[in-house]
Amino acid sequence: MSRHRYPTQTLVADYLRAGAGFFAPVALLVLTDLVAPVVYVLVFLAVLFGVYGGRTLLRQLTELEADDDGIRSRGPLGSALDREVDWAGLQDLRLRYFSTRRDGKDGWMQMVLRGDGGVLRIDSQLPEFDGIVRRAHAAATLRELALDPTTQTNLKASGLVPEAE
Amino acid sequence: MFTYFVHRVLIMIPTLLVISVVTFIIIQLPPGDYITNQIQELKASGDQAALEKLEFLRQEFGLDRPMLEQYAVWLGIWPGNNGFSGILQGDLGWSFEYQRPVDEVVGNRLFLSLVLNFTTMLFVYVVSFPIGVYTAVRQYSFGDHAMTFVGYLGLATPNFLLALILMFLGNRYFGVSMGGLMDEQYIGQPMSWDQFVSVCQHLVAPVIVIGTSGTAGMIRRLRANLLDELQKQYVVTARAKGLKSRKLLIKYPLRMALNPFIADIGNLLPQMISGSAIVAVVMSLPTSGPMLVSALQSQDQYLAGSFLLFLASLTVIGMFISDLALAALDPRIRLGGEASR
Repeated sequence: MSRHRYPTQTLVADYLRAGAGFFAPVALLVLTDLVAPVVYVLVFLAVLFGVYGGRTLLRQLTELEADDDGIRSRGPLGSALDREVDWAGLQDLRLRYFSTRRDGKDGWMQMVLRGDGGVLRIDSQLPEFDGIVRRAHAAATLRELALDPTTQTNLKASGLVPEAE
Repeated sequence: MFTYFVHRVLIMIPTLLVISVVTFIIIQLPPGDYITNQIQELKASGDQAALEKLEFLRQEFGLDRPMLEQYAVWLGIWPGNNGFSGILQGDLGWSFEYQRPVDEVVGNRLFLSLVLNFTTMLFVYVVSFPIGVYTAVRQYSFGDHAMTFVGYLGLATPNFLLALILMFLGNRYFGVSMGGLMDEQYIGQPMSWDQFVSVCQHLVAPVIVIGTSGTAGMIRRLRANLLDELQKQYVVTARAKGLKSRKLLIKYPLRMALNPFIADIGNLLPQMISGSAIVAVVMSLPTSGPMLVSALQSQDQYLAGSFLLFLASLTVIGMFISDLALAALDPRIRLGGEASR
């Protein structure tokens, strides 16, 4: 069995984003009088980045366990947010790539696994992400799951599966 | 997707801030300001009372302060003579040319600009989508040739010329005036149902004029992309396996061909806004374009700044929506190039 955690240093940027996105609108809300539509927008931003910060904290405290049977997440909130996907019961595998740059570089990947135990999302910030994707792909191939063209393209483009496949 | 959304929002906020700074600098770049120009004229005529009033206005609006401070006061993040009173507080400033608050001068022009541009975008997408798909699926048919010809005409005809032609034809053969965005009795009146109906009736001509070139471009892009997709191996395989044409078309090729269609939302909006300024002058539309040109010429900085910020914000929001839609529709790795357009 292998255990994985998102390293703190990779989450620092997310904490900084959450902090900037939360405190800047809150400062404006507290320090100045604002017109109603601006208040709504700023409250939305504060809530959005607050949730993002909370999610980053949860991610830091969550551990992923992968073995020959499947993959599980174990977090501080227990069964409320814990997810488990057995390789034998894998129903869907999706690999997405996101980048905020115009040239599409410096982005990140997200793998979404769907099984009886719910939906598990894993980002490429996680060490050994490539190994987990290969394992999930092997399970999907064994179960003869039809992968969507986006996932197939991303698997090949990132070199996680051979081009010929 | 949530992470992408958050990252994209975080990029959008500083972008808007930078745009507001650039907007402010641009309208301050010419030497002097509106008041200085007026003072020169009044000195020549010797009107002492008016001179004192202008000097009062200069101090009242902080035009004698450093540019950075003026910007912060204008935005509403720094207290001015009346405390925090800037854009964030809903105060768009004072129009020196009209001698009234900017929001009074602007009236419903910004709203009408929004309605016009939104309707035009809707027109572009609603018209170009079925035609683009039809011309690709029925390549080299009579309909394809006819639509391609109309598309070339749309691309090659300047908007203002099309506006003049439509106005001439409307007046000569149908006896209707196509200028304006509403009947005369509703101008300057608060929005009502009758006024709304009048606006909808008058929207037809400007929407066609502003949207024609965009529609023609979209049809050509969608046709080319869909043709590319339809010739790919997976489509041939699916056909060989007996998948029905319509189902096959909707399932993958159309989805893939839609990427540039969606990515263009962000590009289309600024193109339409800048294009509609000239059309608005030709067709006497009460939108932001003509007033913005006049405000820039007379250095009416708060009026020009409010318009520019509004138009730039629309563009940034358009790009934001387009990026989100693209990320949701097709989150693929794109090696060695920009998102396909």
